[in-house]
Amino acid sequence: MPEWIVIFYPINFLSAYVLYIFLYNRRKQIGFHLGMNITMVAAGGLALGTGIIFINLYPFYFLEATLFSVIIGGISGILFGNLFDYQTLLSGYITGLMMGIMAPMVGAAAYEGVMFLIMIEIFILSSFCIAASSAYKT
Amino acid sequence: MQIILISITFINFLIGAWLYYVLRKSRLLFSDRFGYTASYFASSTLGLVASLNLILLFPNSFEIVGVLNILLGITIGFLYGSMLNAQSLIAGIYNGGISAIMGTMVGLVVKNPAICGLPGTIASEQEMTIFFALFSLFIQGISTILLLFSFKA
Repeated sequence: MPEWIVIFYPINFLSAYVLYIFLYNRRKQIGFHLGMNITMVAAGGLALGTGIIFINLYPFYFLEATLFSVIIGGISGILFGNLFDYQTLLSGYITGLMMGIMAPMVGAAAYEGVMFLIMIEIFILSSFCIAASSAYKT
Repeated sequence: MQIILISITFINFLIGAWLYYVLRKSRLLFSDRFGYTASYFASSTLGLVASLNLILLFPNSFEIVGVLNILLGITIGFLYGSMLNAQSLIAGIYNGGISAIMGTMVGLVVKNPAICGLPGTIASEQEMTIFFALFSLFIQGISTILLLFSFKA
């Protein structure tokens, strides 16, 4: 696996940060249904990207990959859910945990495939963009 | 190593039973949405943790433990979901079964990483087993604390 896929980490975290700042100004106008779906998209996508990239960079460290992606998913679910409601926090946490456990196994099953990684990155970034635009319309 | 696994499994089931007792005692206060969220949250956490512990405890007989794990997940989802109405019942049963299947998969990959095509791990098999057992205890504790704080907020 080439080394340049490390560049996906700052892209993911920066876009999640931009989405958080964008949602923070509009959090009073968003209802709980839309807030729950936005939280699940953000937490699951961030955990998925983190786990797949880590297991492709260091294929001998399965334990650390699971730990890292579960922690990233849980913390991002709690942070995004804390904008709206307490039950949204619970939904975001459990989605991030499930995705974080599953992501290193998906990445290991798709080992040595760069096109698959790029497609997953495009999918995650486009779901972030759709979440931001849905918050903009209301 | 067996005694640590057995005691961690016992502690996890004890925490789940205590959480069931606390939720059952105050089930008349639930709104429609909180019933769905609590059933989804508790059944998926306990299904994942219980099936992971059982597949680490009996790694040689995969088929029987896998079937029993799915039945156990459905039972846990039925118990947590039968508090309020049909919506929480459906959510509990489905998410309990799904998380039991996922816990079985995690346990098999931990025991033998060559299933997913990984070349191997730096840590030995015993370290991986101990780490994932402690990790399941950690997940169950954090989830229980988060769910119990929702009565305050």
